[in-house]
Amino acid sequence: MAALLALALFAAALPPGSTYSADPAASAIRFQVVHKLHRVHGRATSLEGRAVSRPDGTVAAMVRVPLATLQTGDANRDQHMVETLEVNKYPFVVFKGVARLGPGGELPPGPLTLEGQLDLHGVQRPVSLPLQVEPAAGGGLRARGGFEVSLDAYRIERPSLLFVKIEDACRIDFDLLLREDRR
Amino acid sequence: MTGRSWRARAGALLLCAAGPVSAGAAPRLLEEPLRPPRLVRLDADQPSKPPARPSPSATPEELQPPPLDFDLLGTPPPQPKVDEGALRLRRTMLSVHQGAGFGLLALQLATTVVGQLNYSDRFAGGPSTGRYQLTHKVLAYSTLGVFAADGLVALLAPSPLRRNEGFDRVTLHRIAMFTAAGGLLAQAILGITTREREGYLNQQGFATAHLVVGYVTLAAVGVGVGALIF
Repeated sequence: MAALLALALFAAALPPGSTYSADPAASAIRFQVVHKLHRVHGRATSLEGRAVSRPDGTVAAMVRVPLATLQTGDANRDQHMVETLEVNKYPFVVFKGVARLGPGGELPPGPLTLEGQLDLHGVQRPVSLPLQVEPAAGGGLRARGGFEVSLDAYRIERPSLLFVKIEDACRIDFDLLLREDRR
Repeated sequence: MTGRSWRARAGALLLCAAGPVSAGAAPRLLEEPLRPPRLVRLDADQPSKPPARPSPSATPEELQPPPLDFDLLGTPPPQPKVDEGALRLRRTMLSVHQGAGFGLLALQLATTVVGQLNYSDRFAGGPSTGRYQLTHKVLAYSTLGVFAADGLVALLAPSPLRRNEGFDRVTLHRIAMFTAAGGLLAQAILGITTREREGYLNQQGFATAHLVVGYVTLAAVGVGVGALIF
């Protein structure tokens, strides 16, 4: 048992220079917006992500999602979303962040907080993103977390139904499987 | 109170506030020379506070926001351009479709209610007054007209982003509205047939079928509208 625990702790480290890429097939980014009459759940059907452990004891991460691939289970709404997000002008939502690791690249026992910025709809805003990182069952790392963004802050015109706009907060949750890149 | 007596009282008050001077204590000289008082205007801006001292454990890197001038993913793949004009036209047409859809639901409900009253007036016993006939007829043709126009607006709306999302809310909406379209067509045929069977024994049978199809059509329109709202 102790050996297993030690193995898990050893695995939960990002040695400097190691690079991990998100496996899109085994990863998910979901979002949720709320209207008075219902909740809308959506997901990204395409994503790119990479994390690099750096010699200065930090890890840099970047995730990019093409906005045209967001789906909510309603083709009409998706087309409206593409229009609202001005996908031709701002085709991607991009997160970049940096977190401090332990001296040997160890992950902290609690949540790892990425300090960074979210670039959405042409607006860049700072984001502090707590995420749980743990060794994945089949190898690699699993990073889970969530945060809220204000649609108004990103100058996104909130869609309305029956003359009632959706709420300002958009909840984003992610569950990424990061596999180590072999060099 | 004169200026002199005011100053004398203030001086006495200050002495009292300074506390008793012990008899044995020698007068003590100030170590620093007295500085002139600093005059502060009450309406002057408050001096800004000095920046908070960093905690001794914080390293210089921790005090700075992390630099984000890195790109780990390289150039993004080119994304297909969307016809924004078509999207805007679609939005306008679907907004009209939505508004007319609520009108259609109200019309369909009114037609069904008046249709039920008309049926009861005609077949529930007692002499028929015929007072609901004209209202039902006007409502029924209005419903048919609004349905056809509203359906046409939706069918003609451009769809620049065609996707196969499987069975979604829009699919349910379409199934419900095509069911309603069939129901309305059957309603028209059964309604005309019922009127033409005046005096025949099977008139009530046609009227009952017309009524049942009316409720089914109302339910279909309700499901179609509800699919997009809830």
